[in-house]
Amino acid sequence: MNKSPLNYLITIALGGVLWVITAIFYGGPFSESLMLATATPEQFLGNFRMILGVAAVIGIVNCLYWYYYGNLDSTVGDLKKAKRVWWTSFIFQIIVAVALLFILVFMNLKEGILTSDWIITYALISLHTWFFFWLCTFVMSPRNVKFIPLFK
Amino acid sequence: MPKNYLIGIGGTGARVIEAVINLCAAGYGPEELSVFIVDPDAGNGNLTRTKSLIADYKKCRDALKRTPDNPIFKTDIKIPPDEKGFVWEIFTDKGSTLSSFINYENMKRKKKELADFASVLFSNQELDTQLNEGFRGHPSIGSVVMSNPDTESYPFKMLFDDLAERKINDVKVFLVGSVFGGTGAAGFPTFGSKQILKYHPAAKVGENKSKILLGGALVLPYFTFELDNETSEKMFVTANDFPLATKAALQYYNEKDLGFDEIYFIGDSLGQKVGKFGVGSKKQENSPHYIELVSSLAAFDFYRQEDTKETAEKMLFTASRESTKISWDSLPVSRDATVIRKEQGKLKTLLTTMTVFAYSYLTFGKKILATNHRDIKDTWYVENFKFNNKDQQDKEKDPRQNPNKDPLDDFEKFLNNFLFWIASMDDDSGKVNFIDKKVLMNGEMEKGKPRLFDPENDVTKNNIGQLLKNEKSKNEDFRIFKNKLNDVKLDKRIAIASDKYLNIFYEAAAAYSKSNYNVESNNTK
Repeated sequence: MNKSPLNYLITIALGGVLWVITAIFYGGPFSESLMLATATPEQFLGNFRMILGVAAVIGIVNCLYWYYYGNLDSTVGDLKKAKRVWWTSFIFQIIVAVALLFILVFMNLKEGILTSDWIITYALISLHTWFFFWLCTFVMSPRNVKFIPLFK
Repeated sequence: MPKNYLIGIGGTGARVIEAVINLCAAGYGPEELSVFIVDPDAGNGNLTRTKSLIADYKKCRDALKRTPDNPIFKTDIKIPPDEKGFVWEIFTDKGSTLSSFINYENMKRKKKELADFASVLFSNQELDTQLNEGFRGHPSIGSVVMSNPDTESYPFKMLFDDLAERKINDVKVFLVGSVFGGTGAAGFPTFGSKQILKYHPAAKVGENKSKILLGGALVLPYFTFELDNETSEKMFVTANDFPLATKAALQYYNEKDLGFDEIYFIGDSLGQKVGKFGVGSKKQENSPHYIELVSSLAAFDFYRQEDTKETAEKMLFTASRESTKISWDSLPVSRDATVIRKEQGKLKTLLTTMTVFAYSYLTFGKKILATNHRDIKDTWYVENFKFNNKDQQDKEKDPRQNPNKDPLDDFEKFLNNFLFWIASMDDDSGKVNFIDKKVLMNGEMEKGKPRLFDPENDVTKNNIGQLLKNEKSKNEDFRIFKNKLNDVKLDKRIAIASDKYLNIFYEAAAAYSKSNYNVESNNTK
């Protein structure tokens, strides 16, 4: 699974499937369950799907960049730099997750959504961003950088 | 299987054995080889270097379990059981002279006519000069004292013990020495005479048949050295004496019916300098020279013969260069014209791979071993060295700890000496085109401590791709070598950490050499 283009394709497919599960199958019932002050569940669902979509795209693109970078001949010559690149990407994913949550919060400030629902939303965004990046790079990093991801 | 013997005579003999050992380490050698040296100068720098190299070779060979494709250290080098028996020093007492050896004072009293005859053959200086540092360019002295080796004690005992239950020509004995010095010039024709080895009663099997197939490489002048004007010695040989000594010796070989079946005459007209003059002892330590490599190839060609007639025809071999430059494809590797190119390719492949292996191991390999286990993220390392370094039970899986540390230290020492040897052949003249020492190490070489360039440095990362002098290559940098390390799929039977570590580096070196230098690794069998 760490050979290209297999890792590229699996990552894109996995990101897509994950988005369908979270945004379509889980997102519908989740938006119905919310007690919204003014907006309809359909309006919230639209924003929710868009935010998860952006998270998924950023997560996938970051993984693909890591695979490309990990395959470069220059990378094997400087694994310290590779480690810095991985950690930078990982932290960037966490920041993206927080930023996307805040965008969704600002879009629905007047709706009075419970904190517990925002936590669930953050968990779903995280699933597409830093967790997705960690999981994919943990399993599918190119051989040269196979042992760089956290806990590997 | 026939037995192969190599007997080095004098300083040149020791240096040729040094080349043989390095070639065997690279994987270019017979399956088995018994070696010993004849030299009265036990403290001779060349001899000390060779003795130490053989000891290191044996340690490395004993310690290493190789993958099936890894040919290094495949030759089982045998030496006499005790280290002292490895060299026949001829004299048992320090301060021996020819006079004391033939009991000249006693002779003068009891057999005056014999003493008078001795005084005609030898000058007073020759009779009274101490010989523990060699025969100083006077082979006539050496031939007297070497004519009766003790076959009941080592090292000759090893050879004569092996003769039992052997067939005709089954023991291949190869002598190597110089024609122009003292010990070699005396020992070569002495041991080559029919009665000493070839038709010794233990070797003779009927009329003109022997268990010993006797070959030899007679090394003609090939180097010069700087004369030390401050020496207090009165009797010694200088480079100016070489041509006359050679002419006289060749005339002797032409006229005398010796016991050799085959002789290789090897020489060189480049006259490279190999260091400062030294009469003997530690001072006589010269830089390795490509002619010693060529002499080793002659020995291997001799051992390779499979079908030798019972009464072998006498053969003389010479080879010469087509230009003033020496390269891989000008090395005389075989008597058989149909296999010369293949053998040259094999030699080039093995020496290139060994050089890449030694260089990468001594730089990057050592650096990794000096790094904390947990901080290493290189794939080849993490995949092959899984252990908890806090667990005592797991420590034997750590290449930094014993039982792995000692073999790796032995390899470090051997590989340093290998690089010293192979790089020394590059004499800056631009005429010897094997390994380019300028891309390998910084400054002048010091034996055992070459200051190698860091292959991970941005400025010198391309050096590994340019090791072959005046040869085309892809100039792949060290990052490509690291990729090759990651690509190594190690044989599951290699379980000991030090074996894994060394085999990974060798296999990566073989893959890198094939890719960058276009040398054929499947050509090495």
